[in-house]
Amino acid sequence: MSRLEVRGVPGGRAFYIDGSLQFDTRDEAVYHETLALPALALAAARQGRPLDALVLGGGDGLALKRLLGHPGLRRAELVDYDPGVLALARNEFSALNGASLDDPRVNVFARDARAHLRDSADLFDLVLADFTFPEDIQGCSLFTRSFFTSVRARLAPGGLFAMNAVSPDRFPAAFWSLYRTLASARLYPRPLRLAIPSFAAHGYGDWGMLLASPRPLKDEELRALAFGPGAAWLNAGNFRETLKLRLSGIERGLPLSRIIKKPGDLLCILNLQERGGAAGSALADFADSAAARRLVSALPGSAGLCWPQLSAEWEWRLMEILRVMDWEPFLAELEKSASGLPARLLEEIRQLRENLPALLNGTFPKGERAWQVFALLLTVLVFVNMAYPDNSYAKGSYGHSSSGGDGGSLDINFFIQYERSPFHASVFQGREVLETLQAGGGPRPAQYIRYRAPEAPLGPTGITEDRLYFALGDDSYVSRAGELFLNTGQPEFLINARADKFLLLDKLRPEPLFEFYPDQPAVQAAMGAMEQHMKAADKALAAYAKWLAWAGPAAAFSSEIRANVNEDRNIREIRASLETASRRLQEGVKPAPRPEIPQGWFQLSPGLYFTDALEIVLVNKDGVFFSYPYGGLRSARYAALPQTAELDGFVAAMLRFRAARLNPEDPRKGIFETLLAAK
Amino acid sequence: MKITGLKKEHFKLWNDLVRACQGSGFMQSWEWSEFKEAEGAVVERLGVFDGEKLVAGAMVYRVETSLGVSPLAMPHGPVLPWGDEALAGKCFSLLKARLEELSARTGSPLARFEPFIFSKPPFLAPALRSPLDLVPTPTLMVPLGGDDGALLGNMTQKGRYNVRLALKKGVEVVSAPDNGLTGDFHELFELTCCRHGFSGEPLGFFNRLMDALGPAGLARVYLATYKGMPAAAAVAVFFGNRGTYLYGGTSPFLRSSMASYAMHWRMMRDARDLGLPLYDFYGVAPEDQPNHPYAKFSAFKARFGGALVRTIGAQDIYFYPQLARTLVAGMKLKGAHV
Repeated sequence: MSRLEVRGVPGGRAFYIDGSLQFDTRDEAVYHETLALPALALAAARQGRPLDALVLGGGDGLALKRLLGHPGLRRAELVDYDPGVLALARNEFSALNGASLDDPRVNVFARDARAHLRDSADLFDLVLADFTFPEDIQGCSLFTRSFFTSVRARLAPGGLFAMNAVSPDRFPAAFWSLYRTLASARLYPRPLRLAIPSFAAHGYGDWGMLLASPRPLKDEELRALAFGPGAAWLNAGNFRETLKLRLSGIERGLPLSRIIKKPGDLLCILNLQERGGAAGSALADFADSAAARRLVSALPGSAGLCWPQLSAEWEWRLMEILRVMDWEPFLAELEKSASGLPARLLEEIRQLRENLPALLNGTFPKGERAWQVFALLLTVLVFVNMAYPDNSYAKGSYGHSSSGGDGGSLDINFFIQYERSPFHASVFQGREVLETLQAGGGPRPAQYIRYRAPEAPLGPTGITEDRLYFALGDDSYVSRAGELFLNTGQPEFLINARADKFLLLDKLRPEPLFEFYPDQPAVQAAMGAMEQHMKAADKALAAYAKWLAWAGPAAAFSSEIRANVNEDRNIREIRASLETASRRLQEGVKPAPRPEIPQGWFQLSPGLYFTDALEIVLVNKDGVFFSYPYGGLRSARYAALPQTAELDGFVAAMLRFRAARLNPEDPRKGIFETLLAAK
Repeated sequence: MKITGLKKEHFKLWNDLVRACQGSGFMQSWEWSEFKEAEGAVVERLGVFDGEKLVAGAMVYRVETSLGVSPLAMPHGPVLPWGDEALAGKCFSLLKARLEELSARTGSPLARFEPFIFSKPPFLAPALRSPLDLVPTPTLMVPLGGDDGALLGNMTQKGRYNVRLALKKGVEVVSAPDNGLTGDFHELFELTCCRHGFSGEPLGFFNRLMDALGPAGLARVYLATYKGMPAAAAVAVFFGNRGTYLYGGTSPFLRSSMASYAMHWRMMRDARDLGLPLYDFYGVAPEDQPNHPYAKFSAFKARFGGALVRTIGAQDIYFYPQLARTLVAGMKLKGAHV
C-alpha cells in the first residue's frame, strides 16, 4: 500500500504519495484546472448535451471538483485503486474538493483502472487520467498503448481524453513516447506544458499533460475555448501558453521516443534520464536562447554544434557546478576583471550578483540582462569542456596537424556531433526504399506521386509515376526519377522545383495547376544539401565497397550481409537520383529575369503573395504578375487569372497554413481567417 | 618539499612512481605524455620531491585552442601517495598552487583531476564533479590471479563456452608490439565505427600510438582471424597494475566464429603473464541504463566475469580569476554581437 502524507507548508498543505508530491494547496488549481477544464470545455462544445465523465486515478477529488462545477455534467465515475486516498478525499480534503466524492452525480469505485475499463460497457464524453508518476512496472502499465486503446473504447464519438504525463523538459523522451503512444492508439494528442511552482521547487521541472481525442483537435476548437469565471487560474491566455513546448525538449525527446507497448518500455525510457535536483529548465532555456546560439555561432569550430547533444546528465552536472560554486570570490574576481570597462558591463555583473538565487533555481525571467550574463557563464563552461578533445570513449584524436588539415583545428568529438550521414539506417536496407528518413525524426512512408512533366507528351504515356524517397530536409525531397520536390506546408499540394519554374502539383491530379516563378534561395539550399548528401553517400559507398569485397559472397546465408548489400545498392540509386536532380537544376533552362516583389507583400508560398492592396497575386514562370480573385478580392492592377476550383483550393490551403502560424495580434491573421470563412 | 618540472632524466623515476601508484594509470605514463604531445597537446610534467625523493606529481595536459579556454587535464592523475592522506594532502596543495600559476599563464579556468580512486579524500572536497569523464566510469575489472582454469572459472558459463568454441573453430590470435598489424586492426575498427555511427580515430593516430607505446612494451595490437579472414582486432595497453582493452573492432560477418572471445582470452592471459593482476575492459554502460549506446558491448564484456568498479570520476577545480576574465571577454564579445 502507498505511503500517504499530508504536510503543512507555509500558507497551505501538501499531499505526498510515497514521497512524491501530488499537489500543494497553494497552486493545485494550476494543475487540476489544466487537466480538467480544457477537456470539459471541448466536450461540452462538441457534444452540446449533458456530459458523462470518467476520472481514472485522481482519488483526491480535486479534478472531479472541476468537472462538477460545470452545469452540463450529468454523471461522473471516479476510479482510484487506493482506498486510503479516497478516505482522505472524504475527510481531510473534503473542504478543498468541495465534497466532490459525495456529490449525487458521482459514483466512486475503489479498484484498478484497467479492470474498470475492461468490465465497463459505458461510454463517456470525457475521460481524465490523473495517475501518479510511473515509478514501477505497475505504474507504467497505465501508460501503454493497450491501456490507451481501452480508454478509447470507452469514449463516445468525439470524446476527450486528458492525462497527466511527465515533465517534457526533465523526461523529454518519456513525454514524447507518451505522445506517440497515444497517437498509435488513435487518440490524437496535443501536448501541454505548464509551470507549477511547487513542482518546480521539488525539482520536477515544468510539467506535461496531454489532451487527446479520437477526433483530432483543431486549432480553431482550441482557440475558441473559454473557461468561465469559475476557473481560478486557467484562462484563454494561460491555456495558449500551455500549448507552447520548448524546442530543446522536443529535439532531445523525439528521436529517443518510442511507442510504449509494454510497461517496461516506459520504465527503460524513464531510466534514461538522470533525476537531478531542482534544476534542468535553466539550461533548457539557455539552449533555446537566441543569444546563446548567436554567441556560439560566432565562435570557431561551431558549425556542427548541436544543442540536443547536451544530455540530461550534462545539464544536471553543469547546474550542480553552478549551485555549489563559491560565488563570492568569483563575483569579486569578476568585478575586478571588469573594472575600467563600460558601465553597462559593470551593471550586468551587479544584476547577476543581485539575482543569483533566482537564476540558480531557474525562476528568473528569461531574456533579462542578468539572465543573459548567466547564460554566458554557462556558455563559457560548455566551451571550457569542449576545448579538450578526449572523453571516455574517444581517447583523443585531435585531427593531427601533420595530416595537412586546416592548421591543427580541433576535431571536437564529444557532446557536439557533426551532422551525421543519413545513411546506415534500416530504411535503406530493404529491397527497395519505401520510407524516407526525416531530419530529426523517424522513418515515414515514402509518398508516391503521379505527374505530367511539362516536356512529357499528352496522354497516359506522359505521366510519370514517382516516389519521394529521399528527404533532403524537413521540406524538400528528391524523387526516384531525380526531381526536386518541395513541401508547401499542406499535404495535398507539392511543388516540383525546376531551374526555370516551380510546378504546382495537386497530389490527386497529374496535371500541374500552375507554373510559378522559381524561388532561387530554396533551389540553392536544396542543391547545397544534395551536394552534402552525395558526399555522405560516397563515403558510405567507399566503406561498403571495402566491406562487401570480402563479406559480399556471404550474403546468401547472412541476413545482415544481405541488408548491407541492399543498402549499398539503395545508396547507389539514391546517389544517382541526387546527381540527376542536381544536374537538372544546374543545367536546366535559366529562369526569366527576376521580378521585383514590392515591399509589404506577404509570401504565402513561392510565387504566391498577399499584397498590401489586400489581393492575391500569383507570379508565373515568366515573372508576370496575375491577380487572383479569391473570395472576391481583386484590384485592377494586374491581369486577372481565371478562377478554378483547384487554384481556389491551393490558395485556401496556403491562407489556412499561414494564418495558423501568425501571431494572434497580426491583422493579416484576421484577414486570412475572414477570407477563409467567407469562402 | 618542492614542486618542479620533470625532465627527460626523470623518465624512469616517474614511470616507477606511476606504476606503483594504484590510483593512477597509463595516461600518466611518460610514454603516453609523449604520445599526447605528438598529437598536439601541451604537456606540463610536474614532480613533487621530498628531498631527493620523487613522491608525487602529474602529467598535465592541455590543448591550446583559439577559444583560449582549455582545462588542465590529468586523466589517471594526479599521482599522489593516496595511502598517506596527510602527505597526499601536502603534495596536492603544492600541485594546486602550481596549477593556479599555470592557469594564470595559459588562460585555463579549471583543472580536471581523474585519479583511479573510489572515494574522495578531504583535500579533494572543494573539487566539483565534472560534466564529463576523460576515463570511463564505471568500468569492468577482471582479476587475473590464477591459472587458465581459474580465469575460465570466473567467466560466465556462456563466456567460457564461447572461448572454447572459438578455439575449437580454429580462431587464431596474433599480436604485435609495433605497427605490423595496425593496418589490419584499423580496417576492422573503421568498419565497426561505420556500422555503429561512432566517430573513429584515423590510422595515423594508431600508428603514432604504437610508435610511442609499443617499443617499451606498453601496447600491443591484436588480430584474431578465422580461416585467414580478419575477424576481430584490438589495441591493448599494459601498464601499472592492469592490462586495458583500449580500442577494438569486429566483423559482424564472422561473429559466429566467436573470434572476440578468443582475442580477449589471449589478451587477458598476456596481461597475467606480464604479472599484471587486473584486466580493464575500459568502460561499460551503467547497470541502470539498458538503452545506453554501449549496453550491447557491456553485455559482451560481462561474460568474462569480473566486477563493475566506479571511480570518483573526473573532478574539477575552478580558478575564479581566470573564469572571471573569460566571462568578461565573453561579455565583450556578446556586446559586439548584440
